[in-house]
Amino acid sequence: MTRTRILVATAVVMILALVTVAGIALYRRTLGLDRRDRETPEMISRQIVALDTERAALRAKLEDLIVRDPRLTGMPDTPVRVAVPTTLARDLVERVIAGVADQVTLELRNIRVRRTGTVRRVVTLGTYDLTVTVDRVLARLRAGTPRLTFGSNRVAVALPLTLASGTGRATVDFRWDGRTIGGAVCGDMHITQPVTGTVVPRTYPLSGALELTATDAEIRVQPRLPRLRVHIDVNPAAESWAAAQKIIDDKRGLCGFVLDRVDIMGVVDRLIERGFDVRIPTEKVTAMALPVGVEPTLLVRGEPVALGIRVGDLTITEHAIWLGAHVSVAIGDQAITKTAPPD
Amino acid sequence: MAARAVGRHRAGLLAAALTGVVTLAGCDAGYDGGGGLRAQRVVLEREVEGLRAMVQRLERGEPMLPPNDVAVGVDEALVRDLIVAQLPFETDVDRFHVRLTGADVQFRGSPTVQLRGRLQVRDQPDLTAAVTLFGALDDVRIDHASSTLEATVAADHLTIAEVTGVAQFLSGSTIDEVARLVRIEIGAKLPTIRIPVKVQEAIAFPAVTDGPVRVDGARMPLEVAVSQVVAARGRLWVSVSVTPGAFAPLEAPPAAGGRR
Repeated sequence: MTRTRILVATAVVMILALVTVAGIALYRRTLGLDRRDRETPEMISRQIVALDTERAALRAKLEDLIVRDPRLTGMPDTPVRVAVPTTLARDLVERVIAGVADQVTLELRNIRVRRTGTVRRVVTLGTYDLTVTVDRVLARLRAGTPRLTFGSNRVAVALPLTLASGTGRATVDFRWDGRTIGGAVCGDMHITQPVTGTVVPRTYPLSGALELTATDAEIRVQPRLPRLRVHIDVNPAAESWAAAQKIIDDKRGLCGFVLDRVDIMGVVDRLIERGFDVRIPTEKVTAMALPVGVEPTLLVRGEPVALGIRVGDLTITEHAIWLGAHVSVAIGDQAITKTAPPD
Repeated sequence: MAARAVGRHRAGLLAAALTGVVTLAGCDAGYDGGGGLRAQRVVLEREVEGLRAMVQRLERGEPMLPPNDVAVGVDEALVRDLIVAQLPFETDVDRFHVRLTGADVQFRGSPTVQLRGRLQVRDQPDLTAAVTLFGALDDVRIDHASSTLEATVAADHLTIAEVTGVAQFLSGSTIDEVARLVRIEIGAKLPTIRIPVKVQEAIAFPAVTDGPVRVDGARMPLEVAVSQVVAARGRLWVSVSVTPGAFAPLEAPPAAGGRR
């Protein structure tokens, strides 16, 4: 080996050694292997022992404290449990009752009263045909503050229901067919006149119950309310009444006798005075679901999968309405049934 | 012939020397093999932190969950089944293929989740290892599209063990570094965990239109949000705040055929 070769080889070895040392330094620096704060396994082990001791103490304390939480009373022993606080249930039910009642409109249309007859004074003077048509009575309901009493699986409910406001409109149609038998007689006559009025407010006490039931997916609140019949009274508007009376008065003269006998406004008055009875279809008030429940289907890897759900009984305590459910997950042929106890 | 043999011998020596250097570079007797311990510590820290907060709250006389919120409790066994239902989970991270096949769930102070599986070097299938991902259910929320509860698995730590092939000669620190890389990458890819509890965002009433009594359809919106999450005694407790809004009439359905 020549001297040159030896020099070159030495240089190559030295360069390689330098590159290796630099590489090692870079490698250790990248991985943070020479950090001063780097922890040894012994340090971590000591921390683990300390954490483990603290965990044991905290768990014992928690066991002691958690059983004192009154809200957990009545909690079902099922894999899934939902507690709806009675305060929230009360708030929701109150709002729903008030909200739904405020949407109720009573509407009566085309109620007709017809009276026909003959007016005689020694001889027949003519025949009349009086029809009073209640074109439309519109009234709105408003609920007062409900009183709810929780107990068992029912919630007693009592509330004032007010027939709050409304209007009515009727049309008076009077036809007189006068017999012309010589002399001064009341000839044919046709009067059509609208009469308007306002609904008289009236409050009805309504009491019933809300029945709570658990379905596979939710807690349902089904109202059980008695049949309610409301009576609508209409107070005729003074101007409208006066206008109708004036029209009739203008026709008096020769027809005064006839109009007195028929007493058009008396018929209207008696019809209005009798009022209108309307039955509120309380049985049609639909059930509502409390807004939290068990979802029977889940998306697993993008595919909907039906879960096996068996709902337990509802438990109602002072603090909460509890819904418990056994849920099992079955994917393909592999049904995982550990969460659902055998029937 | 002899010269070639000498050359091969030199090349072999050089390769052995380089492997040794690289291995030794990452090797550090005092620090090696800390991955498993760190994983254990992460899980313990999470749990102790959760327990501390809960004990403090209960000691102050406060309830475990806000008293006016809906409380949803789910057992750890069911959540484990729900996670297992989403397995196997497979993904590629850098040069590795990860396949997670098993899960363990513990709700003791914190909602910890362990996912187990294997890691494989993609272009060298004989290089495999067992992986365990230590994490926790995080960001429990209401999915507004499905109105169900869902959560993310936050990946805290990942350990690699039972290494096969030449990779078993790698130092503990090197393996820890690979584990860190895989953990960071895989954390963002883990599937969302869906909890089979639905939370409605409105209460609606259909219209009643027949007869003299007419009830207009109405809807009461509900503002719902997860307010607190507690893991205790093998259960995950999710507290959902429900704030009712004002009743509003239901929009009338469009006329058939879209004609006005």
